[in-house]
Amino acid sequence: MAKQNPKKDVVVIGLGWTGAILSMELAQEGLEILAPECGDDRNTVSDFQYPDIIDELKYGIRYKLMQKPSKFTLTVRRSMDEIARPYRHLGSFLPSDGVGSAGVHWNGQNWRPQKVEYRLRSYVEETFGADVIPEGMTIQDWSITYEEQEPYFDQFEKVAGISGKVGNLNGEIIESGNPFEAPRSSEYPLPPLPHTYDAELFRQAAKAKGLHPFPRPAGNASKAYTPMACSSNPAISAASASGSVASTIPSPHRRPAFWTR
Amino acid sequence: MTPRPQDEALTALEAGKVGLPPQLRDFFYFLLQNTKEGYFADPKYGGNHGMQAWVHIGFPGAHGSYAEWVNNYNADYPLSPVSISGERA
Repeated sequence: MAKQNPKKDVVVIGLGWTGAILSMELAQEGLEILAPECGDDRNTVSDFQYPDIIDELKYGIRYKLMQKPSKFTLTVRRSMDEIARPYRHLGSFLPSDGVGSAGVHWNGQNWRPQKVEYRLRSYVEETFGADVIPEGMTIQDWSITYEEQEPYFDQFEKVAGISGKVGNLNGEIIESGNPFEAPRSSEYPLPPLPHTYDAELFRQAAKAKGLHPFPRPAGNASKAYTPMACSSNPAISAASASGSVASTIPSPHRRPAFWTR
Repeated sequence: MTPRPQDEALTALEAGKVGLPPQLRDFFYFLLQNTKEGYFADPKYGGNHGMQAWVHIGFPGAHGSYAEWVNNYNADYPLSPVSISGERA
């Protein structure tokens, strides 16, 4: 006999970046949510706490936070001559698993798109002519613009605590940031990460060549940070792993509104 | 076995000359991998006793933060290794 579960308002598949944020915002609206997540449940304090999280063998070599190939994997072949075979040991890409998903182990590179990426077909036609687009290539303009999304990039960066330096502040170019970026409405919530020696050498060499080195926007907190959005928007809890990479794990006090299995 | 036969056995194993059944094809790979892991992983796994492997290569182990040291270019890191359990070398 089929099992009948209690009815919920919304089903969100998976509690990764998108699922977790979506679930939290919908829960804040008072909706009841079922969020099936095939991986493990995770909490900031027990699962990402120093010193256990610094266990290189467990996390860096044995990929504890990643998907287990024995559970789910892909077949891979390197050329058309090979037979595709199951990928039995992760290496070149690391799919994740569990609450927070890839957000718990991503490198934290947090770039915004360029303005032209939203209207890529128009840009190519204007700049290079329509003839350069091959027959059948589906390149198109998006139906939204960078300007429409900018406030949401800004909100996300402030919740996640992105470290960086603005290079284009509402049209004003700032030397120490990325002068080529799409205009930002505000500075990053945290200052850039400090430079290691190799990064500093690179910066000096690039600058000497007349290039424009700038600190990469990083989902790694350069200082202790309490997301300002948390006080007004408790539905979104940006959890910081011990290595201070921003990830989204649903705040425990919202749990009564939805459950995972 | 004395050291020389040991080396010969391992060399033959690595070269695939020991005639193992096909399902043991990766035995040497895992043997070497687990040896490295045991040697360099945190002492909680049973190897790297007293963090001596880390002392040997100058690895600081499980210190909580290096942010304060990032701008000390080309300076020796002054602290000795610490394990996840909190023991110091």
